[in-house]
Amino acid sequence: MKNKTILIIFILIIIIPIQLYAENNLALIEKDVYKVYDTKNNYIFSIAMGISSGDRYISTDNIEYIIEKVTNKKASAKKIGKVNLLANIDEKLVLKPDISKKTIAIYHTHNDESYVPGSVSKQGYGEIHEIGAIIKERLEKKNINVIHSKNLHLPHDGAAYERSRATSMELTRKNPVAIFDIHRDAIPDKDEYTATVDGKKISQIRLVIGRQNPNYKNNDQFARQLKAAADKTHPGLIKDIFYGGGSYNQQFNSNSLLLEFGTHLSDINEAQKSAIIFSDTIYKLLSGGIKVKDNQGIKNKNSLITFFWIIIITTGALFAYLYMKEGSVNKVIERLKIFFRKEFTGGK
Amino acid sequence: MSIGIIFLIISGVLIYFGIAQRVLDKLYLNDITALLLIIGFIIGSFYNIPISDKPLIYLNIGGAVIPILLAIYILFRAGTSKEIIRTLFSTLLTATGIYTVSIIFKNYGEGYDIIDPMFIFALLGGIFAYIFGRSRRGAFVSGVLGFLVYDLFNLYRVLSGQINTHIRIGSAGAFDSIIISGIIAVLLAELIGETREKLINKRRNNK
Repeated sequence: MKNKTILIIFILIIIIPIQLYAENNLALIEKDVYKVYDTKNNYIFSIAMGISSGDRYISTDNIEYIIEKVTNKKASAKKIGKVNLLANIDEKLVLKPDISKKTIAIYHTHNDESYVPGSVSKQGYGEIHEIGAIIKERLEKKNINVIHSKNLHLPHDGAAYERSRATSMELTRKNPVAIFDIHRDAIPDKDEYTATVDGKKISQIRLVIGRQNPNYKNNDQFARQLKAAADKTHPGLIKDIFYGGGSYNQQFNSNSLLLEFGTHLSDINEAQKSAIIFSDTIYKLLSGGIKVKDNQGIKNKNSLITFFWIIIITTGALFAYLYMKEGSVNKVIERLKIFFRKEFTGGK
Repeated sequence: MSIGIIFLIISGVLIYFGIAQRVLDKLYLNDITALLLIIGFIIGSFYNIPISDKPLIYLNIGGAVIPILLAIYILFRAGTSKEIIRTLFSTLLTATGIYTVSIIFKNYGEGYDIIDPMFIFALLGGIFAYIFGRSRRGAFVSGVLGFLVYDLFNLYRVLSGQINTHIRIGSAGAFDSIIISGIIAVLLAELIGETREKLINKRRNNK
């Protein structure tokens, strides 16, 4: 009897998720959209991502908001005021204008994302890969090395970022100056992303930064410089910056951003046009064609110095710990001798 | 990179590998073997074994091959046939648990996070593996193999034409959920198991 019960529970555990998966696939993506209003109930923006209090937002015209309350897919945000994007940029983090040996890395956590009129979620390589390909082609023509990862992280479920983590780590090892995880949004209003830039109708780009990552400050400063640069040369190209919960695997690189090129209802031609303008902006930013700040930056500390600091701090911390435990330098040395004797000669 | 971040990363990595070594110690491996395994996880992270090109399937040595072999070794070395069957059963339940959560919370990682996305699946794997596996060995094996089986679920969906994706098992190397979930499972077994034991002993002594 007991065995039978266990068997039934087991079968149910296996069957329920398969059922759920089928139902989930039928669900409209648009049901996950949040609408954000200010305290006077004026509409600010929509997003097909989770929103929680404490999230921040910088609009097209650089008005900053902080999310205060979220109820039933509706969020209320307090206006902080107009921000100068470059006001608090750390001198060390100002991008150094030098395109030599610079690499940009692109990948797609949600490979399936596509635009209407076809299926908005394609199995395998969706149309979002075409956006990445345009940026690669455009930048490579200007002699910037671009790695466009073809890694697939499907299915588009809760473990997609878990799967793309390895891709983000793999790309970071190539030491790129920036990493972009390229997506498209899923809000039901295409007009919210449509704008005219340089006389062309385009789909705007939203920059998304995860608040739960140790590189948050660096990613934020990169996003601000990028938006400031675009605001100068192609105003309206960057729609906004959203700072939400999560990390989006941005913890591995200081200049790592998630980009939303329009929404699923946007015209892919408009998204492609914005990819071209975006590439030109990136090129200008890296080549010094746009001065985001008068001070053109201090040279990035090279990795050898970072490595040196890591060794010094680790050794120092280890020694301090042992000193506190043993009480004198001689005892620490004696203890280290014992440790090495035991670990590497098997205690003989 | 600022000194603060460097310091944070170093302490994080040291704590992680320190815990990993303690966990391996608890699995009846000696210090040297535990140390060698950790070195294996780290160096192996840089190497993959390709299984097939279409669909693309590969196994990372540090993130999959070494921990999986270790789990199989632990499973067959000390276990009775009853324990082996129970552990394999709990492995399957762990995999199903991870699969269910990945589907129910399909937007996880997009601002719907309660726990850092880097650890959520490993943590879930660890919790499921502890609940179903119970013993330290059972928990470790279920945590590691549970994640492998979860990847195999996806492989099945690829081979049966339901989805088109790459199967890269253990690709995040030493920081892959395969290893982390095994470690978390043992820690839970330790923490909860020992606390329970202490409480029971206390009650017995009071009687």
